Amino acid sequence: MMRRAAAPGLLDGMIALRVLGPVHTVASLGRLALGTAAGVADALLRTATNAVADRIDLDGLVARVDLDRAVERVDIDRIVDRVDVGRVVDRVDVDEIVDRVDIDRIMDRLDLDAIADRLDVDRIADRVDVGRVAGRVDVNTIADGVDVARVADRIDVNRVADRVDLARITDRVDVDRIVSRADIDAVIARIDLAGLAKEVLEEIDLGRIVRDTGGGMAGETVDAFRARSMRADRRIDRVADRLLHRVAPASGDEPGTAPGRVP
Amino acid sequence: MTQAYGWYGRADLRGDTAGIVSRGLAAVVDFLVATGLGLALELAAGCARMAFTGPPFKMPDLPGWATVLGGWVIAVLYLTAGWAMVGRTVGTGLMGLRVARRTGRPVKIPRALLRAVLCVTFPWGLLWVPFSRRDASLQDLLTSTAVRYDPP
Repeated sequence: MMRRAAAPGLLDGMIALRVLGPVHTVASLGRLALGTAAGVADALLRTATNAVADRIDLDGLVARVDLDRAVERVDIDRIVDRVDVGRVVDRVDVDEIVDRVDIDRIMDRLDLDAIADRLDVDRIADRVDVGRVAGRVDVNTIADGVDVARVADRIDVNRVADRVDLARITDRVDVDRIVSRADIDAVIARIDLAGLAKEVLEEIDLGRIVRDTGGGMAGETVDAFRARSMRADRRIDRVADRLLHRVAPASGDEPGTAPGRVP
Repeated sequence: MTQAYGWYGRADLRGDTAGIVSRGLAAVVDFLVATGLGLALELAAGCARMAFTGPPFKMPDLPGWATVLGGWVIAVLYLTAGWAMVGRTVGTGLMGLRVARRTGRPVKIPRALLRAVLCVTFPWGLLWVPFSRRDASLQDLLTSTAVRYDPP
């Protein structure tokens, strides 16, 4: 019976071998064994790894790493070539960076004098296209914004005049050249000479001056000339009377006759 | 009176006959004036000719006798006009003299013309003035005129 009891299990196996086939059975058993071995191995590895990790002296390892040698072996160019800069830049949040920048602190640390010393102003000036800048300047707009009256009020004219060297300016003026370029005829044509002369004469009353001075002087001169001629007349008359032995009274014998003469 | 005729020195000399010096100087002035009139006429004739015939300007080229005759006529007319119109010419006016009849009345054109002709033709008749008792020249004797101090 016992045989018969044990016999059914074996029998079943033999039946199964017979039914399923021996290859299939071996494969199943192999997979079962491998799966069991993998689980055991995984557990062992985990346990061993944790034990090793716990026992590793990282500081000692790091101290034993020759970083310089490692860096020398790194091919930076190759790394850089593989970096997608555009993608990196797209991921950068510039606003956030700017918000986090402390401008005041940066400015405090800037040595402006040193920067200014290093600036090549001449080179900068050479690169500036003054014509283009001037072309973009709207002079009329600037002029409209200038309060000329206020500017004029702030100008100390006397101080400006004091600083002007008039003698030097006049020395540099070529009067002959200016006169040669002046159209004297046009200037004269625009002047009412007749009216001007008339106004001047009316103002100074030239006629009265001539009458008072020239006329008076001429009158006195003529009077003196006449008086001298009259005395000469009388002297010659007396000489003639003496030559002719004529009596010469002190006064005229008759009105209308020279003294000492007969009518 | 003295102030009005201060150039005389004596007011009562107004109206007295003038001597040879004053009259001679007046004659010289009149000669110059007559000469100037003659030149002015010649200049006017030259201008008139240039206006009609065109440039160049040229003074009339008169013969000698024509020049003398023209000058004589100009002088006679000048003296006649002066004496007959105002009793004085430029020369006598400058010297303060007046030509009138011996009676003191103004001379008229015929007498002035005769006196002018005689004065221009025989100017040396003036030399008789010192020897005349009334300061008369030969022309004054012939025309019964006199030259007296009469300042304007």
